[in-house]
Amino acid sequence: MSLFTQFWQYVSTHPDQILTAIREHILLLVAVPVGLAILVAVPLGILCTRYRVLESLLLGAAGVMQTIPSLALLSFLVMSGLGIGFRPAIVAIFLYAILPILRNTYTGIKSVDPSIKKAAKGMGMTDMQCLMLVELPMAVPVILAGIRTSATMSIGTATLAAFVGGGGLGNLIVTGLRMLRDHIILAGALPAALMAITLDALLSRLEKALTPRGLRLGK
Amino acid sequence: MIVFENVTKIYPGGTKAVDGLNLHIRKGELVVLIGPSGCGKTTTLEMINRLEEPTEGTIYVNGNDTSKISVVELRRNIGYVIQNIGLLPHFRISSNIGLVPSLLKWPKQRIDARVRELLEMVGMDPEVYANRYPRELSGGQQQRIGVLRALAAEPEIILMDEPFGALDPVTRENLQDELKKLQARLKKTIVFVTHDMDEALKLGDRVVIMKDGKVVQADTPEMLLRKPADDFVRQFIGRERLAVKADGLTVDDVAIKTPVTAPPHMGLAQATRLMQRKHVDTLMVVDDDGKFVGIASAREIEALKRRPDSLAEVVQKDVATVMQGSSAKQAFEMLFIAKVGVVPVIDGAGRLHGIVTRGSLAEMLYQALWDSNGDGEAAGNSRSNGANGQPPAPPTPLSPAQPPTAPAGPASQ
Repeated sequence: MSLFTQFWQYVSTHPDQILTAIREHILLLVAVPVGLAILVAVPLGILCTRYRVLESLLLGAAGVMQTIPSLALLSFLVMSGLGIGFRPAIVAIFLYAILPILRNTYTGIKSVDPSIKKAAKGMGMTDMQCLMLVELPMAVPVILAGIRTSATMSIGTATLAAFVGGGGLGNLIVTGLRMLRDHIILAGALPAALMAITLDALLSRLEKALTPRGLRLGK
Repeated sequence: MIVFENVTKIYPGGTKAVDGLNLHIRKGELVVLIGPSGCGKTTTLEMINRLEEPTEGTIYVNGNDTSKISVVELRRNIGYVIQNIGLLPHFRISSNIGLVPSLLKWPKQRIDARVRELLEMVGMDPEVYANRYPRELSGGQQQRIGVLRALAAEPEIILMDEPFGALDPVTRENLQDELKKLQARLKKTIVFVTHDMDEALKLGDRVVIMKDGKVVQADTPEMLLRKPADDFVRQFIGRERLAVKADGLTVDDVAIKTPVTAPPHMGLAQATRLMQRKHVDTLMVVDDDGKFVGIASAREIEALKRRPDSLAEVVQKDVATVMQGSSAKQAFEMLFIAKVGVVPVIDGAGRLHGIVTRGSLAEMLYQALWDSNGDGEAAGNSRSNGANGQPPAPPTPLSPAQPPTAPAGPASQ
């Protein structure tokens, strides 16, 4: 029996198992931590543009976090009292998702043409108005690109959650590896890969759609 | 309107950008700040709307100490135009123009009406442009919108920081002309920073020349050209604008040698008749020793309610003159940059030797282009001083001997 027939047989005999894994993967291991990361990183990114102290502190810390190998980070979190299961996985993915969003929010705002900021200020905008009417709308494409990076990356990181009992498609991969069953590995890896590609495409379209029209016109 | 009182600005790091500045900008005046880079002109401008805070001294706007007014309030009441335009790319043209009014919470209808009015004022069809985005417009059009944005909330004061500096020369000239027209109509108090002397002389009611954070000379363009305060100003105005070129034409070459003159004691009625007979609109008033006294113009005489008895009472004495032997360029610069109608040529003793008018340039061009072997003598003689340059010239007939190159007037604009 070829690998593909075995794979197809497995998929058709275990549809519930695979669908549950996909659902866990998307909702619990990607949507929740990335959503939280957006809520935390965008405001922090804005703060970084306003206060010099935070700039080096937060961007530095997030950068260091990114360099820790994901399996190591998961193990630290398990030992730190979060136990095993979804919790350490969600926390780890959340921590990884922060940096791209934080850095892009910061860069997006910082790279708004200074003459536009000066004009806005000179016409009597308060700092808040300048942020809400000028800087954030102009930084939207860059911020969304950061979110896309985080989300796509999280799909990959999430497969490691299985090592700490976090569920998701990683479960199938780990099971397949232990049992030396290639078709089970494939049943986990293929949906994960497809998911990453699809999500990236979708978010890239969203990015274009949400970019203010006047900015899409090029220079 | 705007008063600087002993204003000093020292940047962190110790650079003294502005040093004990005292300056009084009157209502309705267009004042140009000019100087080499680092002279403090932009800092001076930015201290007015508090983008920079003075280290010492006080700035009053409308009699109010600006440091005691809310900064947001202050800025919303002062129009601001910058070199890089700074339109918001994600806002439509209408929202860009209506930005300050909307910050001031004008009702939407009033903002819309104001946007239309402003676009129409500069000849941009609101139907076509209001809904566009800045990036769909050319650089010149964008800066027009930048100027309109500054005018939108009807501020009395407008600050312009090298607004036309980034534009190509043709567009720059067009926008300068438009600004001049707008200003003639709106009479705003405008503070204008530039490093372009031609622009300064063209636009400024007064030009303030700065160096090392201090004012070197603040004067009308005409007075700057006539009486530069020192070598720095002379050099800054430009050698080519002032100096005599050894190999170039001199005023003697182009001057009308026999202008229509009259003594100061001539009666007004007689003077008017003389002007009619000679087909001129100005008389050179010369005393009995041949010394130049001043100019009497028909327009000036007509504008008077009470008819004085003699020319002596209407003669304009504060007139820019050139010395015999100066370059012709200098006289033409007075005609076209300082916009005087006629430039008398005098010698060291103050005697009148002739006059240079826009007609002289036309004549010179004619000779140079079409009459190269013609006798300049004949052309120069018996020419009347139909000082046709006065912009809204009354229907003074030009001298019948005017060469065919007559449209010198429009060409000078």
